[in-house]
Amino acid sequence: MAAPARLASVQRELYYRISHMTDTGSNDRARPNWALILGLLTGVAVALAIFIPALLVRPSPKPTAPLTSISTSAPAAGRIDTVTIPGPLGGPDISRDVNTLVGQRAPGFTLSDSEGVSYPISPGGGTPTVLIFNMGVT
Amino acid sequence: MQQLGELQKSAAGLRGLADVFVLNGDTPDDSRRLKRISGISLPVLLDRDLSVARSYDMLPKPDQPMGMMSGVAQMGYVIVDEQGIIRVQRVDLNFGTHADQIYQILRTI
Repeated sequence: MAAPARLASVQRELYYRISHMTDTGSNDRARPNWALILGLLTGVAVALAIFIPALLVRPSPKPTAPLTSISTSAPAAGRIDTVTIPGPLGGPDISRDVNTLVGQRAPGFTLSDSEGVSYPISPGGGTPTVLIFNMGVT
Repeated sequence: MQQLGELQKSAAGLRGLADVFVLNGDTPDDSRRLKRISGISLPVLLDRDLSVARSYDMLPKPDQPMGMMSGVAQMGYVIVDEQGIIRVQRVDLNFGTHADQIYQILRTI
């Protein structure tokens, strides 16, 4: 090899070593910072360990009164209403929907009270009607 | 009878929203006694043969509370909207204690 070529080769080698040296003289400049990476991974693992169980045991919404969605047709008015009716209270031993006639027209009737006063009941006259059935004194 | 006393506490409010009637199979004498003891101010109608309870399917059935009883109407209520359509048909042994819910339903329908 000629001297100029040999000299250029040495210069390139020298330039390469100098450019890759750190202040301490070692040339490990491109080596990853494992301590930092390990710290970040540990932090993420701790965060997951805390938040995942917290999400799993997140309290469920407070129980509310059961709701019954009832669709009823009103043929007289030619429309259909869908409203949510509060469900029975106190459990099935206390209260329970029958609903065999829900959506149908209420039958009219006439009954008397204890004094003989007659009550012709004809539901649907523009005011809601509530019929309370009970056992009486028996 | 106790439930009628409870119902009486809400009678005025319910009557502001609906026509409210109490039905049972009592005789006139028993009905007077019932009204005196319970203090109920709502009209109490005598469904002697339970024909109205039957037409509203409110006679006891085996799978219902008090379902093994006979000769009486089931305890509960039927709510009919202003157009005459049955909206709620419910057995409720505590209908008087639950009068607030009847009030709530009347405001809903």
